[in-house]
Amino acid sequence: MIEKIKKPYILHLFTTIIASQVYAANPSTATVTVTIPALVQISGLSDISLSPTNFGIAVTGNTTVCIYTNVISPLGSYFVTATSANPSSGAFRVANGSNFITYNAFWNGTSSPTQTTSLSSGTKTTQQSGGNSASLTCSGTPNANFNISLSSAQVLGASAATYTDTVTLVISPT
Amino acid sequence: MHPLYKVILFIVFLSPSSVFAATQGTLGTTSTGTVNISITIPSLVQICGLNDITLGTTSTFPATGATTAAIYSNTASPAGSYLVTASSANASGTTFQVANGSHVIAYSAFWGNTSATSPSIALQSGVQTVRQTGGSNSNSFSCSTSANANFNISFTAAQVQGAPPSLTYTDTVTILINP
Repeated sequence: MIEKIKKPYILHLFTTIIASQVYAANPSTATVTVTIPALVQISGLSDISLSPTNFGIAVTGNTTVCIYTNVISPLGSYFVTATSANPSSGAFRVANGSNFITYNAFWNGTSSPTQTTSLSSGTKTTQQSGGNSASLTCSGTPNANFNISLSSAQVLGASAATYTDTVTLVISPT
Repeated sequence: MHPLYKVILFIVFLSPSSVFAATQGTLGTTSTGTVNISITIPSLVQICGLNDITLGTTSTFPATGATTAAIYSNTASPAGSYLVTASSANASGTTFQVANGSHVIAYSAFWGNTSATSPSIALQSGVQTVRQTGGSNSNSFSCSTSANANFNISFTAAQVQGAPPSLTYTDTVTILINP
């Protein structure tokens, strides 16, 4: 009975020793390679709805934006291409049927609605900075701004109606 | 499902905020979001370029006077159209009157939708006209632009008869333009 119990232990001990000797004599490694591409994300966008009542000054509106980018050099950099659904030779336009109002669109690399970079519909901007490289949600703090402006002349020349546009914002690392 | 819930869901799916909502990008080698832009331009009108009408001493009738006006209107249909309501400060019913104390003289008032005095339509004090055309919806509108309307008045001999002489009669007409 004792012999029947000891035999498996002896066999196990022998196997363990052999395995250790093989490992020690033939160490092996596994190389893991992961390539992280340049990644970007735009989020936090809101629609812009304007109902102006003061026509002596420009009519403006904006939405703050969260830009994530893992671009290393310069850290947090990215490019923006904004495209109007009703463009005319690079101009952004809102439309009501066949009636249009041209407006100006801008990008700013902070959350404030500053007219920093003038946008041309369908044209990629110069390299922007200020993107968040650590948080996809920018930790809840917007780091960019898309804003628009209509001059009083642009508004006064338009018939009474509601005009709309959809602007597509494409963020790219290069 | 309770029928009321179905109605509520139906309304939710049709609400503009559901149909026209900004879309957010996803993480990738590029990322695309969209922003919907809406601007509502209300119906806007403006009257300017008015001058006072001073007839002075006249012995020729009908005695007439006029001022041109510049009307801006962005009304879409008909383009540049508007409505006029002219009100006399000394009105008697819908009759325009000039006054000197308790002495009054009725007069006729007219609106023209060009800078000329003719054609014109007769006005009644406090009564809105039929729709006028000819207003400007130019984006460069200002009172320095060309006149495109006319307010004019007329005193007939019959209207002035019986009025005490050597008095100056005045009135203030308020002209309200609306879309």
